[in-house]
Amino acid sequence: MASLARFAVGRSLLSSPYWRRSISLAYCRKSSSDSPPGHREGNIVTDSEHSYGIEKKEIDALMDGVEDPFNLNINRGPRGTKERPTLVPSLLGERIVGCVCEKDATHIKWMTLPKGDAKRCHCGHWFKLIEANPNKIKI
Amino acid sequence: MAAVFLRSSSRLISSSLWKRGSPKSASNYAQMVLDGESHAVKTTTQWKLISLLIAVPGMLFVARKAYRAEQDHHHHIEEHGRPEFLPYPHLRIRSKPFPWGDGNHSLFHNPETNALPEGYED
Amino acid sequence: MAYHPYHLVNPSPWPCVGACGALFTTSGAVAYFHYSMPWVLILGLLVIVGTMVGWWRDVIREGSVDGCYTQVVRRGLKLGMILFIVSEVCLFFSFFWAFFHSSLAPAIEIGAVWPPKGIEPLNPFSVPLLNTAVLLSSGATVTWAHHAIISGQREEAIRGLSLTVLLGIIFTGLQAMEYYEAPFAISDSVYGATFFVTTGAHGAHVIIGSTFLGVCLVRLAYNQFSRGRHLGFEAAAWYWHFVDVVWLFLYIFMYWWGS
Repeated sequence: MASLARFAVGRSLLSSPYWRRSISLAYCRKSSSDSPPGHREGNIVTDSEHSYGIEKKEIDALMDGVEDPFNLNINRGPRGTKERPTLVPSLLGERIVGCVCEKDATHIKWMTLPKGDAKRCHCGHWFKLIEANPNKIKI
Repeated sequence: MAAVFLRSSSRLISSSLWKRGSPKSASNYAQMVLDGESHAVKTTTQWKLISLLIAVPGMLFVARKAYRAEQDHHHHIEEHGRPEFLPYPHLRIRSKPFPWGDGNHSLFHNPETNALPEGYED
Repeated sequence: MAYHPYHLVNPSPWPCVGACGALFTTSGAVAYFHYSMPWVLILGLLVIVGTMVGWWRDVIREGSVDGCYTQVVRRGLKLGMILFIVSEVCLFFSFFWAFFHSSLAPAIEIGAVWPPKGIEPLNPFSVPLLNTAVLLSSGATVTWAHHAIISGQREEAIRGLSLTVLLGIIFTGLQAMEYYEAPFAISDSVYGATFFVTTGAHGAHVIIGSTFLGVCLVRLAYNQFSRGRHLGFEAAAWYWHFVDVVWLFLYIFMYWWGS
């Protein structure tokens, strides 16, 4: 009876502020004094020391043991009922949810899940939006 | 089976899941990165040795061989002369002129080895 | 700040400018070959070079400064490079097809023999063998540089990569010498045509690959690579290995068997 649900983050309209910096020749040169604990031998920097922006957040989350920082994996759980719907975390008022209605389903059924009451997929699975940060990285 | 899913799903929903893992414990990912780096230290030396002890002498050996072969070739040409010019129809095709120069010389034309449709230049 | 790992690209002039460059290059090549008028071709090539410089500058900034290249994005970039190399394999496959079509059953017009009557091929155990050794060695030195980057040894990486670029330049020089010394030209039967088109395309790829590796060397010197994030270098190394493998086929079939 396991159902699969794929959550897509439905906020692509929120564009990231564009903070292009100009390249200075030594922009990523780090002195050895500010290397973090666990810094290893050698003089090419580690990924965490080198990266910026969202990439750095992702690397740090991965290094901290978060395996799926952006919540991209398919979540598997029991069939959501009206009384116990599958809870979908979201930062915003709505989120696009894809329901793999049966185990052998060959397509994903997508729907917009707004905040409020639980919503039912055509197959009978119920979903409800809850306020939470789905990303396992601090933004 | 369903119980297993239930348990994993209740974990999924509980808010603790969205927290970061403990920064103190080295994750599998971090361990993988570390292992990869320490392995690469060994393979760097290995490939350095392959480059300097096998590739470089190999190149020098083949270079010597190539130099001698070229010398022999030049001596052969000097003694016996270059092949005689024969106006075969399938060679020196000029169905339209080359876009460069006078349109009759190929891009890498060597007057000593390459003949024009009319014969060698010298 | 984005809450998703995808890279939503900013508006860019380069696709449009690059398309114009491609149009000028192709129509200019026709004008050059038919009417010896090189100016449109030169303009097209300049626009293409400008597009390459500008677009890849933007890509380097997105990767090194803006931090746009998360794992998902990098997977897409890797797939793109793999697909590009596959398309290059198809290109060389077609050149080899032409070669085998003409050489396996030589036409009566060329004397029904291969090499054709009157063609004196190059000695494969002379400079071509040296070229093979040079390219194989450069494959080893680029691996040396790659493992040095992963293990964080900057000087070793610069040494290995400089040697690779040097070997690429040596190859190009030797090949130019061979072209000049060759007793046949591109207009000498289908032998000259297939030989110079295929080795010429390969030579162009060696020059592109050396440039690609040279850019990586400069970026390495400017500390733009980290131990795990050096996709530009990885792509250059894949490309270089591809060029290397094409040469092996070229050497075995065109220089050796074909003579």
